[in-house]
Amino acid sequence: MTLRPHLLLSLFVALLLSAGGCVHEPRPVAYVPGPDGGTPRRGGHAVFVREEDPDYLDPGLSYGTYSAAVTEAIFHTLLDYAHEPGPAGATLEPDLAQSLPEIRENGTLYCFRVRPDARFGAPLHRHITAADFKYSIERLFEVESPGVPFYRHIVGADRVIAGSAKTLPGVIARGDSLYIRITAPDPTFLHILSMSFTAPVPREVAEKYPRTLSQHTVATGPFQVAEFTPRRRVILVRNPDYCGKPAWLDTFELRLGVTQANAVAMIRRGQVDGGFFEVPPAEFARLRADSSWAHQIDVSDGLETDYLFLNVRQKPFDDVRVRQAMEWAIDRRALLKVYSGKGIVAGEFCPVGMPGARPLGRYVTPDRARAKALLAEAGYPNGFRTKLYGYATEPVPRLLTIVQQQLADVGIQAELDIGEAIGYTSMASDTSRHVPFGFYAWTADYVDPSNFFDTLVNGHRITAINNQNLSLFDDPWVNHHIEHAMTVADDSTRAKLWREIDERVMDDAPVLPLLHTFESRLYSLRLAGWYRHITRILKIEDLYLKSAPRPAAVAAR
Amino acid sequence: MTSYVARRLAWCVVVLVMVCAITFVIFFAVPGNPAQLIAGKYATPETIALVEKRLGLDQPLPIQFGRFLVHAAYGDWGFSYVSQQPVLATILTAFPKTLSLTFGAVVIWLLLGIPAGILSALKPGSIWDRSTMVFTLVGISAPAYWIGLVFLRVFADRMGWFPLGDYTEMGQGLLAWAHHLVLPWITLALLYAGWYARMTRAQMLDIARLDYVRTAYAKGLDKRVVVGRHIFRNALLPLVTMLGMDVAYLFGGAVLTESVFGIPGIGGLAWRAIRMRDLPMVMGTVLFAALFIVVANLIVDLLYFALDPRIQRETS
Amino acid sequence: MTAARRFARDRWALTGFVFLALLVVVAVAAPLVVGRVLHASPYRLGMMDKVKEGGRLVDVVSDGGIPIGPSASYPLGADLIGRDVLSRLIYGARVSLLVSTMGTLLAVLLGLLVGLLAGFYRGTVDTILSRFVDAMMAIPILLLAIALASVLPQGNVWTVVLILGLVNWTYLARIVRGEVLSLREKEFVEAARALGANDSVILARHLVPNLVGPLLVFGTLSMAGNILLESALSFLGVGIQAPTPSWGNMIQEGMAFYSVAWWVVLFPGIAILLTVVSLNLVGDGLRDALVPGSQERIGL
Repeated sequence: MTLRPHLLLSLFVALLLSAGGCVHEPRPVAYVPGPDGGTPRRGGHAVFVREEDPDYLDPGLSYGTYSAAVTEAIFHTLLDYAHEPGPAGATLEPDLAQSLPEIRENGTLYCFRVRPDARFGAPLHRHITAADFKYSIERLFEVESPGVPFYRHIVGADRVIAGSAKTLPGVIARGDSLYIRITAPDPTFLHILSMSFTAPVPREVAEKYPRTLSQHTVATGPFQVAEFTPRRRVILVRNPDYCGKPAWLDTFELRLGVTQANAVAMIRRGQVDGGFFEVPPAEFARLRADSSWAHQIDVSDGLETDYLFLNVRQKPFDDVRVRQAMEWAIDRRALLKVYSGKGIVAGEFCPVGMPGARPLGRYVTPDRARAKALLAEAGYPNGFRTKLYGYATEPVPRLLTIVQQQLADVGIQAELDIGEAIGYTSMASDTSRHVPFGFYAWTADYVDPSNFFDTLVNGHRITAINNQNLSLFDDPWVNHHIEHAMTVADDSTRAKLWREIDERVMDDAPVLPLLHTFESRLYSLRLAGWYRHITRILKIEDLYLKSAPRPAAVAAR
Repeated sequence: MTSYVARRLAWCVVVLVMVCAITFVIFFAVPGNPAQLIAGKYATPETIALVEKRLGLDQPLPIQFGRFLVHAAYGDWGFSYVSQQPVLATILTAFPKTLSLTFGAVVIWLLLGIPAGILSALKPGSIWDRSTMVFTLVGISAPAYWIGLVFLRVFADRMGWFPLGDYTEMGQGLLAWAHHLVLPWITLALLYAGWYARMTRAQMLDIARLDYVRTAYAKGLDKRVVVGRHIFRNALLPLVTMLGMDVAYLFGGAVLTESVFGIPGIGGLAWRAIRMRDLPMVMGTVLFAALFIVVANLIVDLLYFALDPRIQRETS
Repeated sequence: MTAARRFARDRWALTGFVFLALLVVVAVAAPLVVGRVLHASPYRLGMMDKVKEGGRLVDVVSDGGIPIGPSASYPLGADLIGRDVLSRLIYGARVSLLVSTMGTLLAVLLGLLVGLLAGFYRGTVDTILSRFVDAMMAIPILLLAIALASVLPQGNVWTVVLILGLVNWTYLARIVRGEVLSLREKEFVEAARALGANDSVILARHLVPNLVGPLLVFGTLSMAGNILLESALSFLGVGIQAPTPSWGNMIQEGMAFYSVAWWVVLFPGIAILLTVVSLNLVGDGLRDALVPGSQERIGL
């Protein structure tokens, strides 16, 4: 009797340990780190992970940076961006269209010819006609796609939106010829057409499964869906019907429901090849310190600025010397540490990843003496008291605690007011709340500096609620130059203008830019072909697996 | 007998109604506009007014409360302010996860705690007894979430034996399901195993000193029989009672363990509902938890009533 | 043998008591200890500081955001924004002890009041109060605490005290009621009645003194639970808020980086563990000293 409980216990513990042990995967083979795997070879199965399900596998409804990679692997359309890293990737090339379109009638008529070998994938295997494109564009309005606003300038769209028409007279399909007419010339229309919203959808399938097209996908891109089990996984296989460049991988699996921490652990152990998530700061710090894994993290500019806004209509922030003093008091290098170095110190307001932007290097090293002198000059030799607003999502509270101490070092006593993230934006953007001093972060909606300057510091954009110019900054010079810059056609002239505006904004300091944070992705050692495309969407068809390195190469490392 | 049962059932209902009332009071009687709390610290007066109207908060409190009770009795527990999904359905979806966590933990703590307690009681003062008491003392004194974090760091992060907090449905493979739950099970079980070991030990020692047990020994009965039939059997009843209560509490959701290990159970549901001021969800989760506790209490009382004639005499 | 003597003979209880006494002294003298002896601060951020370790200059917080571990200048390491963990631990002791003690006192007062009324007057009063106690006990403690925390002004130390009191008194009320029920039948109460004493005199003069024993025991054990509860609330973010250090919110702050900075999570946890263990030891010791033979204990 005395021994049996002991036995039971030890048996149980042994079972536990062995269960734990046998699931522990062996360590991965030693590959050469980095995205370059030599000559790409066809074949292989890659596994990625993600916490949430893709919103839809329906090109008309799918919308979101994380879902986009999978959607764009399955659904291609008339045009596609060049598959190159950096600015070269912004060039549009024909995909399902035979060539770039003829643009006639003063930029309001676009003429495409669909490729004769363009085909739908399984189970249809039939030729894609212009009528299929017309149907899929009209379908956007029918299913209330989030893409509708992009296509409202097509002739007749306003009546479809109003509900008084079902078809678009501005889209004409004749055999393999597709004509699209818009109400006024728009230099960005080709980019809008290249979004996967216009990917052709077969009418016979879409009408049969109007709301569940995600489960009945017909591919038009390099991959097709073999399986989509919600909350479990998505499996893509190479689509033989695709008329463009075939994908390297045979199959691509996206495992769902995996949290960030687990995802990192699984990639490090070689169990999976990557994922659609941001690398958590602690893991980022640890991986960067590792010689092989440092090369596996793809860090790129997120076109983002974290900054503090000062309400220039309230004392003491109405005095530019006070604002400049605060710029000199903050040591941004300390703040960068909170992000584990995943970004750069912001010496300018506009993110340096914007085309034509350059780092301005303003206030990069703190100067407390100068800050105190400026405060004294403005009439606050002993500083002043104020309240600094922020929200509870990490790492903002840590960031603000550091700022608080740095301001205290020059005599400014800032009490922190940290609330829930929900509701912070609506509070800050409500002019009647008179928020004096707070934290804000802005990520570019589109790749142009106007998204920052026009929205955030143009005095003409101040509204009573949903206001984004949180400083209530209204400088006629700045306003005029912003609006002028938005009309300039020449790229380098425009870029120079934006830089001048940025210098002026930094002089006046209605906003105190802190950091430009970066985005990060982690990839396994055996995966190659990954790069950051300018659209920030991963091109799954360019991924391939490295062949194992020769022993000599390993020893050399 | 039946009158006692009937009375106890009636009191159960009363207690449940009081639970709802207490929750209501907490949300409404505390100074501060509840719509303000729901709309958030930063909401505008217009938003607050809208919230009040939309959620029927402009009605007098007793009416709101009455309406809630009537609906709840018919199984309509309302809709979450945040997700607009039916409260009861959401709770029932989360419940199997809490159930998985509780079930495994119960098995482990019973297998660990009770034999350890028995052995301690059989050999009081021995090395085994002393070390068990130290171990259980640590188990009941350590913060559960901290133990969970330590386990995660050592066994999941460093050794890689277990996944770093996650939840896999049983339908996706029994082994995967169990593998993801082992660390949370052990974390939860450690605390309770400690209590159960100590309780078992204390109960058995108490009973061992009772007269009829001493008599049994004096009569020369085999020690094993005495321990098994008399001591342990009688120590069992309070333990079973405790088990019933503990399980009932855990069904209400182990907020800390679920939070550390990322288990989408009732604990997390309740916690998020409270933070988001999602009143229908808060009422739902509290009521759900209270139901189990009240029922467990009822069963325990009935059990004692049936088994212990003294109580019967006292209450008739 | 008096109760005190019995307590003193219990080695383990004595050890617990000594630890607690030391802790209280250090906590009360925190500014002295931290300021004068350690030359440190629980609030000073060392984000850009460098210290001498092993002959080299080392960042207190590295570029990767990883703080320095246990070392000469930071005995228990630094936390994520460069604050000294040891100083914060000591100041955290102040907060945790203060809050738990006050919370327990409040719970004892409430529990005493309700238990006395219910046990002494019985009848309807007892029924109503007992059902109310049942109802409160049917709500899981943590949920109740979180609910209260979310409606009361956040970050206030007194809010946490109030919550701890409101959540714990039911347990004590039941115990007091039980004791009163058995005590009121005793002869000395009847004798006092016969002498014409009114209710409140009987309560105050005869019953309450007899309750001191059980109250002391359960108060101590309750305090152990309150330290755990307060740390849980702070961990969840609804208890003591930063920058005031509390052992619970220190663990919560360090949680995201526990894989690279284990000291931020480990040491506060150990502090909680040791304090609660000591309280349990003292509580057990008190129980044995005041109610001899209630539980046979050898060693522990």
